[in-house]
Amino acid sequence: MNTDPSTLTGAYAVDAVVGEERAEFERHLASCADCAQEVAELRATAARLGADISVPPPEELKAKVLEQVSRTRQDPPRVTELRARRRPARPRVWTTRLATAAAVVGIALAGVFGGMAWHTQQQLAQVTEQMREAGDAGREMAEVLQAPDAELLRSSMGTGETTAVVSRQTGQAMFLGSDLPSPPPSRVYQLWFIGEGGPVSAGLLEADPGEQTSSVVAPLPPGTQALAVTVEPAGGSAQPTADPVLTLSL
Amino acid sequence: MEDATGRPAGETEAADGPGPEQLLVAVARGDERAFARLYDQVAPQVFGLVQRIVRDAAQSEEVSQEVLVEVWRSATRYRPERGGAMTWILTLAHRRAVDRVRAAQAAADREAKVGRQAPGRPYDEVSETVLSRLEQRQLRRCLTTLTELQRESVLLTYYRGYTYRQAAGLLEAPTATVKTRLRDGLIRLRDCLGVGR
Repeated sequence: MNTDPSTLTGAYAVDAVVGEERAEFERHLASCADCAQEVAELRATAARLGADISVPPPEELKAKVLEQVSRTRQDPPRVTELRARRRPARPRVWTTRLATAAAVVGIALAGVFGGMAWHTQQQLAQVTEQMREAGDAGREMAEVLQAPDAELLRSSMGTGETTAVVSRQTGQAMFLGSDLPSPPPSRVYQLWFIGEGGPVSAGLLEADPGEQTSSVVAPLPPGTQALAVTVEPAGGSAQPTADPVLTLSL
Repeated sequence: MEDATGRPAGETEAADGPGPEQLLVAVARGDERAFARLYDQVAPQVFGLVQRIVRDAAQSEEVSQEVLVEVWRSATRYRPERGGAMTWILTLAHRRAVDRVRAAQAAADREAKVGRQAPGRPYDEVSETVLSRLEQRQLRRCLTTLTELQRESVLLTYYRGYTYRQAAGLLEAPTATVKTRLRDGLIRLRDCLGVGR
């Protein structure tokens, strides 16, 4: 199908797209701010249809809900305050649940620029949940996505696409590659922060098992001016040994 | 009771106390009493919408309970600057209700292997029924400004929980057509209702 995916906003807004088509549209949303805006508006419109009918629920429902609420923990709020500068931790490489969430992360990225449909916020919440389950690094990644000063950088790399989100406020950066061409045998992609002090390794871009994605989340060194990817010998290098195959300027 | 401000009756409640946005923000801070008040304000609409989609009374109650507890749980994610609390809550309710309907449909399909959708009534009758049941005059008026195919596409997907492809089957129209009519219809509705951001 090579029809314009933007026309799916209506169907998406009323939950009338399912399966792979839905996932595909959500990936598209990540790169289409106008679409995200339109989805938000059409959702608000649909909610007017929803608000039309008001039926008193059975009396006992309130007691049931309140009882369940009294023993249900709320999702933690987003953290937006300035993080304490932490020791430059060793870059972490993500290989777990992040990959499965990658498509949805794309949506979250669309939201970084505002105009995100609240529905996608829901998804963001779900991803955030998944990330939290993935441990400390997950929390950090969730924070990057939600940081008010998050900056989104997208580019293509060969047949694949790369997305980086950096936030100076939270001091974090995340990098997501999808469908990247395989590096030559016994070679790996390595991600670097380029600043005045020269390149600092952000970690290796290893394909997540069984997935077409690879992702890295790492502390953003102060003064970083660009992100770069080089091809390095297996295991990575202390300093880049080749010219970047990708550079993203902040 | 006189309303000195001259606002419509429905809005005077806000003057008496916090509206859903404020309550939801309080709920996000873990305020259970605010949640109980929010419940009173939104539960009838949640239940009304869920019941309209799910039909079955017992299941509607179950789904409504899920929705309302989710409102509590994820209130921390609500951002007032991104839209109204009612939109946020009803979008959630719609999604849950539609999920329930689809799960039931999938189960029925597995059982009976009867294919895509229930035979159903002719769609124009569906539309007539829905239109006549609408309580808000403005909504009804705006819906009548849509073309028939736009309107059917919107109503079948939103109130019945059909995918746009299922709706196309029911409307005997190409899926691509229904997809665009659905969008066009919602856009026209948005403009007619003056829904902005």
